[in-house]
Amino acid sequence: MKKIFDRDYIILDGAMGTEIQKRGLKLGGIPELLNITSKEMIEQIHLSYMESGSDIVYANTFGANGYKLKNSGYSVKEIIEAGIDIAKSATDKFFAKTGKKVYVALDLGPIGQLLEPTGILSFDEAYEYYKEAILAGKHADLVILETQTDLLEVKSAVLAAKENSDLPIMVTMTFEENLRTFTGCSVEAMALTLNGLGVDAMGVNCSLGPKELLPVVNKIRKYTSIPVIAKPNAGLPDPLTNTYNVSPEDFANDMELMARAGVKVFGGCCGTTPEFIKALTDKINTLSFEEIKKDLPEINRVSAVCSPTRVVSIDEPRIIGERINPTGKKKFKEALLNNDIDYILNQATEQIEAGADILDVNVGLPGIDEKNMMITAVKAIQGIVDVPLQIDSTIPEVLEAALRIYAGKPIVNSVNGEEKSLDTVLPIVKKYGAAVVGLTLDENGIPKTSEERFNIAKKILDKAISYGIPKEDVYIDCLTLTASAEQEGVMETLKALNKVKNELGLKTVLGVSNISFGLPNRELVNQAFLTMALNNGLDLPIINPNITAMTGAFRAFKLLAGFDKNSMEFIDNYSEVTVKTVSVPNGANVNISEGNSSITADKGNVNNDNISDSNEMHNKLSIAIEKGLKSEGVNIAKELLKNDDYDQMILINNVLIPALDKTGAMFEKGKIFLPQLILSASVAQGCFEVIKDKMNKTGGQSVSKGKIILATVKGDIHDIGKNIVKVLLENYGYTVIDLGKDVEYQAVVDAAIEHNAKLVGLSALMTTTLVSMEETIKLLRENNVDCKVVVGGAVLTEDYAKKIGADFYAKDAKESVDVAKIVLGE
Amino acid sequence: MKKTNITLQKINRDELYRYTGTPDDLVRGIIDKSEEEFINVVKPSYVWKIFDIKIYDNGVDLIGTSVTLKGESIKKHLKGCEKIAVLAATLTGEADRIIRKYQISDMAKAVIMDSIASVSIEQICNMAEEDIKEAVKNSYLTYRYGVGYGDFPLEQEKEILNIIDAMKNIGLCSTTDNILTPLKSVVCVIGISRNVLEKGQKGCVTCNMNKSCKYRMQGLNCGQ
Repeated sequence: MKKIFDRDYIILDGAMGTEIQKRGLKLGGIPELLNITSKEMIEQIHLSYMESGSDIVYANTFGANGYKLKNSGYSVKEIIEAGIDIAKSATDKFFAKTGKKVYVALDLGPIGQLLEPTGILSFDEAYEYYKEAILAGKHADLVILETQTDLLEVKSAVLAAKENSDLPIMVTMTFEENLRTFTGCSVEAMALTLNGLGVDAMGVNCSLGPKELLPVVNKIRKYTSIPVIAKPNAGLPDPLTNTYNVSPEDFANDMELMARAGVKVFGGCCGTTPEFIKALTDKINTLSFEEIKKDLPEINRVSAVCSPTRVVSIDEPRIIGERINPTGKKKFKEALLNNDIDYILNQATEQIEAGADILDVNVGLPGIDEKNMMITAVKAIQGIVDVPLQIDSTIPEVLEAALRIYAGKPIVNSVNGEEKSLDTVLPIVKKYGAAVVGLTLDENGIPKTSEERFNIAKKILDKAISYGIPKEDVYIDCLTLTASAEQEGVMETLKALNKVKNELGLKTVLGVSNISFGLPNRELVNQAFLTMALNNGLDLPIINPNITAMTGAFRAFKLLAGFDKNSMEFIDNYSEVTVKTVSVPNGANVNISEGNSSITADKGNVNNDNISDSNEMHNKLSIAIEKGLKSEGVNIAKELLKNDDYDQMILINNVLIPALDKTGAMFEKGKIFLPQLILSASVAQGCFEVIKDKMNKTGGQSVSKGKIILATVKGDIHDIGKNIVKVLLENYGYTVIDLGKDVEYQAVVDAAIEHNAKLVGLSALMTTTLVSMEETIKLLRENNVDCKVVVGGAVLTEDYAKKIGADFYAKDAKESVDVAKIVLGE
Repeated sequence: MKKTNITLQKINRDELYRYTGTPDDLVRGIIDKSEEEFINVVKPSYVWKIFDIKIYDNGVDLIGTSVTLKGESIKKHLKGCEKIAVLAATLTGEADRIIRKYQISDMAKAVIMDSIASVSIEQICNMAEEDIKEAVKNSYLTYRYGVGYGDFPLEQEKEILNIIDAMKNIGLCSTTDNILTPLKSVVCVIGISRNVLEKGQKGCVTCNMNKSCKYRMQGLNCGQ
């Protein structure tokens, strides 16, 4: 069947919905039920398209999935089998009449429910819906996934198709005028990701007319050489009559332009009829495939990775942020053990603000379920950031789990020259279409000479190619050794890097910070080494972008090497930096940069000279909290805690809590509003962080005042209210176990028991989900969980709270703190 | 008729301050920055379609569809109308994402972004309504009536989204619990008549904040 793509040009059909409506179907019904009730009508439509020239017809199965058919009275199997049967019967009749073989595509549109995190459908649920449909449609000749808008949903569908059938797969997504789908997915990201996943043809359908969709073709061909599909609408619809504004002849003429841009597979979507397909067929028949092909630009395969919304081409050096990794980080380890995803997300956003182009994600830690943590972390990170990820684990199973649910083309970190590593990691890389980092080490460890490392790089490349991974997706890491231990190794690494880059033509990646281990002033060494490596052809330094000296060296290199055209990026980042030279006691001069765009960007304004004693500092801190001045408050807290004799409980009880209480009271009286209240709270939060840091260093007692479980109840996904409450409670020193949104009743009960929490907070925004709140409370009581329950949410009232058995009702975030004080103590 | 990738020009500050309270200088600064970022990133969409209707005892039939709008309140709302516009609007998943992002890194900004979103969706609905007015010149329009208001059942949300192909047109759908996703979205109907309509009060019931309004929670309304 795949042979059909060897043909010069392929003609698909036109709209099914338009034809069905013409024949009197009312809007609002399920068109796929006609496969049972109006077989002849559907067959007639297929035949009319075949007579117009279609080589492939789409079965009437677009919406035939388990979600949409739930209450239809028919199973997915019944509807899809009937749909394929009708189309097959039509193609058989047509073959008998004309001798032309026409193929039948199992047509699958989106499930009809958005995937997480915007919607509530999980990747696995989406996969199961598609799997069910694909198994039911096994008698089709190929699978078409069309009108798709979410790259992750498409990925679930492609995997379902590949893992449950051998049918060829075509995919078309729907792009708006800005050439992005509703979920923000760009044409380039689609091309990169689907090319990696190994579909047989890809392109675009619906939404716009052929003229508007023409630019899509070039964008697709930038990243793939597989056949390109165009199935546009008949122009744009009239708002009142809903008729489309392009005639069959104009449609055909515009489609010729598509052919000349490189499209191989043609059809029509909304508003197109057999007349359109006839005109299209006639037009395409006049074209010479070979001649057009001659004029098409060559496809230069480039190295690139992507999220749905952002493509990062490795055509210039790019920073991979290394901070999402617990190695040597006490707080990170603690966060992993406590399932504190927010901590990881903060690491992600900080690094991006500091200049990371790609983020490495490593959550390996003894004692945790790395696979589940990796899935959780990748889902959460891709839900808020748009940079591509580098999946980092030594366990192939963890890599695969992350690759499955990653919405785009990531990098796998890593494979090495050992046969076992090559044979377990590379097949996964190939299957999911990722790029891969190859470490130049093998069974015998890291070779000393550049020549040996080069040889391992070559071995990795050859093996990757034998698995079908293209050369441009192999990035080599020549491995940094520690200069203090193996000084001669430094230049060997750089030599190897240079050789890999120039002789193998591969992209290179390198962790930089190891170089300075055991040396004083590590930053200086790291910075120099980074510049040397970049000058030897390093494409992807793995660094901590929050260290301004490193990003500074990186940006300066890009400027000097001519990557940063007109120094735009450099000027953008450093135009506000003033460098002043100050004398330090040992007589050396030190340059201090200010105004840098690092994470310390919100600078404090505290003049230490004016702070004579802790009382005055307490006053200043109270004012900083009231005014919401975070950096100022944090700096004062740091200053206070520098003194080892200073009792941090005084800071908490005499300063932070009273100041928060004061802003709380002002909020209650309507003197300040929610944003100010939260700003004040975040100053206190900053101070608590300072205290925690110090305690981590000195091993002091925990400052927690007790544990509170928070959850947005089952069915509800509006969680901002719950999150505001969380911020406030944490700032009062309570430990919050946040179960998230749409939380199962039992999960609340389990968490309350596991953590022995004395207070459970439940939130719901919708009247329809108050029932879930009631059920959750009921289950807590049935299980005799020894805890109080506080409820809140926009539609809730005190009376209702009582009625459903809550112990407390909090009308806003501030009141929830009051409740916590009653239950857990101040 | 659909419009996607709309760029908002500015956010109505009077409306915004109803959510955030009157800002001090610090908050005003955050609002200014947030507004700029929001407008740059969030590109809303809407789709509407006009249907002839027939009002029966048991509801309102949308001619040419299998949909009957149920409940007394919608019948009352559409009294005297021959047509309705069904309108769906969304700020898209980008609005959800930006609010989610700031809930991690900066909660005050998240609250402000959330408020901006609530004001924006109303502004987008206003734009769509202008479109509709233009399309049905010389007619009179009722105010926007949301699915779930009064006894107009929320359970009808899915079939109403379906007849305007909201998923395909603007990427909007409704969960099994009838929550719209993306979250910052609206689905409503507007009655259209050739004759002057009884003047409907633009009360709380038509406001998309009616479930979370701080005035309403205190038994007041924003006009008081």
